[in-house]
Amino acid sequence: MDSIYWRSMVVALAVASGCARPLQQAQRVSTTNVATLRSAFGTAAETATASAAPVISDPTGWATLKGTFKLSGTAPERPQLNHLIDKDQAVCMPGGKPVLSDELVVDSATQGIRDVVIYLSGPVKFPVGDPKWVHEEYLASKDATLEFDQKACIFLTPMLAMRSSQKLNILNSDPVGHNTKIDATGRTQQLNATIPALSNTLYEPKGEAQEPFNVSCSIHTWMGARMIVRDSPHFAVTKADGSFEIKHVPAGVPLEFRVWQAKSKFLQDVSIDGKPQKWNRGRFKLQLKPDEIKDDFNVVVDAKVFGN
Amino acid sequence: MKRNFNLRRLGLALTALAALSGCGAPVADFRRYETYAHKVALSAGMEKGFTPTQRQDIDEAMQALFGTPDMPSLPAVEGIELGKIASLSRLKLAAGPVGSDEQGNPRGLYREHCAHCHGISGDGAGPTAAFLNPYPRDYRKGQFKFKSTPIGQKPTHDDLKKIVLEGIPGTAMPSFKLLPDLEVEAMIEYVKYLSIRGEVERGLLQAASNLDPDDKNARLISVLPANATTEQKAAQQEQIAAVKDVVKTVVERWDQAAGAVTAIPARPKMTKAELAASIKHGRELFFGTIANCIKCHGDSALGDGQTTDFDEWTKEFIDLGKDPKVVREFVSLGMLPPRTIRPRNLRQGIYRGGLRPIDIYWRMINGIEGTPMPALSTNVRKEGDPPEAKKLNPEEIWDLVNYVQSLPYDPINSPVEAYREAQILMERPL
Repeated sequence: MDSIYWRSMVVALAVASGCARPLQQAQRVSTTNVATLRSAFGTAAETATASAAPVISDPTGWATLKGTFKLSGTAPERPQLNHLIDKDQAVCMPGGKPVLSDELVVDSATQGIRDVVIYLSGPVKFPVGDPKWVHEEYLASKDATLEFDQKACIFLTPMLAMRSSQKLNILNSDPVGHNTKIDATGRTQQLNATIPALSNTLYEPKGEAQEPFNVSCSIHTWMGARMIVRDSPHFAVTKADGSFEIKHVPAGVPLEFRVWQAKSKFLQDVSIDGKPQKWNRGRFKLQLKPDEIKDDFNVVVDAKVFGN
Repeated sequence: MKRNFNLRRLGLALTALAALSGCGAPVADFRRYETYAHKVALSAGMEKGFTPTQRQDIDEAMQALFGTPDMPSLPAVEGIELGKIASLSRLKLAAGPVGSDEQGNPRGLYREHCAHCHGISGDGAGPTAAFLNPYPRDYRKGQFKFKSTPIGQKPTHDDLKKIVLEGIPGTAMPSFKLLPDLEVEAMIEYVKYLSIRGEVERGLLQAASNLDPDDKNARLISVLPANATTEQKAAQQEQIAAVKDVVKTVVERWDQAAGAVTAIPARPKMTKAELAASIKHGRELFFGTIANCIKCHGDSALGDGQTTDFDEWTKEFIDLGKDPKVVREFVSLGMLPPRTIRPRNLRQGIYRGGLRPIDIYWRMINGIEGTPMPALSTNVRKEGDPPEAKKLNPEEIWDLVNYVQSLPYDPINSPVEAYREAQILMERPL
């Protein structure tokens, strides 16, 4: 008893005497581990030969993935942004027209969720250049130039998915100047360029990102869109009725997809056929048979996920 | 009781010892990148954040690659001569505690001149940081504002050297022109080292968040037991390759910087009348919809056109700061309380990136990385552009530069002149 009392006194005093309290966590390391890792990282030549590429078996054909994303429950109201519109009102809110956030758009007739992006995220090292993995139909659009327009200070494609080999023609269909700021992550190229009224600029992403990032306009700060750039062409963005389709998915191999929505970020809690699913960090795994058309991938998301 | 009395004496002695021994200078240590770890965990949807094992994996990999603040090291990168970006011998002049070696060479230059603002880890959160406006740069994001290269590219060695030599007018960043060249060089290389280190830490956190959460054996990096199986060894080789890939991606961009400098056409020589005409045209462009300067710098160029935005170092964590809970979370993790970013007041004649005309040209053509200031480069006329395309000729950017440089001397800046002008106007009504 006594010794506990004294010990706690000593500790309390030491604490109260004012030793510097680190705000942030210091690193925690084991010196032997560090030494082992250092020699592993340091010898570049050795590891280069030793690291054999992971063996992934080739796909045996192509399949199609189709489905919908729908909301169960009441859709949250889309917030109005008009109070943020502090300049160019004549163009951005003509006649005081309400401007709504497009972070979450639910179709009132079908309960479909618009702008959910579904993209192939694995196997980890996706062999993009390999024709066994990318169907020839995707070749034609490999270096296509897509369009990304803004009108009445709204990005007309709120969720854009594109391939890293493609180009993007960023248009400004407004009589006022914009600037398009692409806060790219990963290997994707950043951009922050002024786009004169009724003009355009060309953007090349050059590399892929692991998850979607923001697109904004520094002049009109309420404007926002999301974008993802992938090396592989296997992705889709849901339409207004919540439907999507990914064609020519490599079949006969285990695949991993990720699902992201602007408000919920990675979708984790969903249900399919009434069965709840836990998509850890937005991932689901799937293996399709050659020529299979899986058209019943109908996902229901509870309104609670979006805070309603 | 006798026993109790003895115990009490012992306790008193111990307490006195604890109180008098002081705390001593803590060993300098790189801090974890807590804010970014939190951001990554949030955006990856990791409900419980990183596990202690995952954090330790990253800590150990970081230390194996970059050493400690007292003992820096550099990783081997395939195909890139890292010595050209930062050499270990110069890093050692900047690293460690302040002092000198037996030959009188300096040691600890970074801690002597930089760390009190920029922090030991280069996180821009040294002891004085909170009292400064603007806050000191956090190097770990790998972004620098004042450079000759486009957005997305690293600054060149000369860009950083200019900042260290000249300082940044209008901020707390002083000039280090009085230091010997070798010491300046050592500090610049140390800044690059901290920046590369920070970017690699970001990359590793990102990579760790992308590991398969359902696979319990998925690790960023693992140290193998002596009796490891072939499978474990193969898995480790893959992990090492992945970490090295992260390092290479970062270092490659620094390696490319020197080749990415934006070339600037020579400034045209002008007579007084030509300069006046150039300033007049520059003013039209300033108010026009191609360059669009007034939208942020304001109708009177006082920098009051757009005052609600943030810089990228802040925005990447809190977006536009609409959610106070998110702001509090990041502040509690070490982010300095967010401040909005103001466009430059162009009537003061203070140019942070330098007052040479070429500096201002670079700011316009390339934009300012990490800030809302966009680049004009995509709007400069190139061969083959149709004549009706809304583009600026390269010399028109010089007109803009001339106009911006004339603004501090604009008569309306001086109350006396402004009054005189107003009187002239009143006597001769329009």
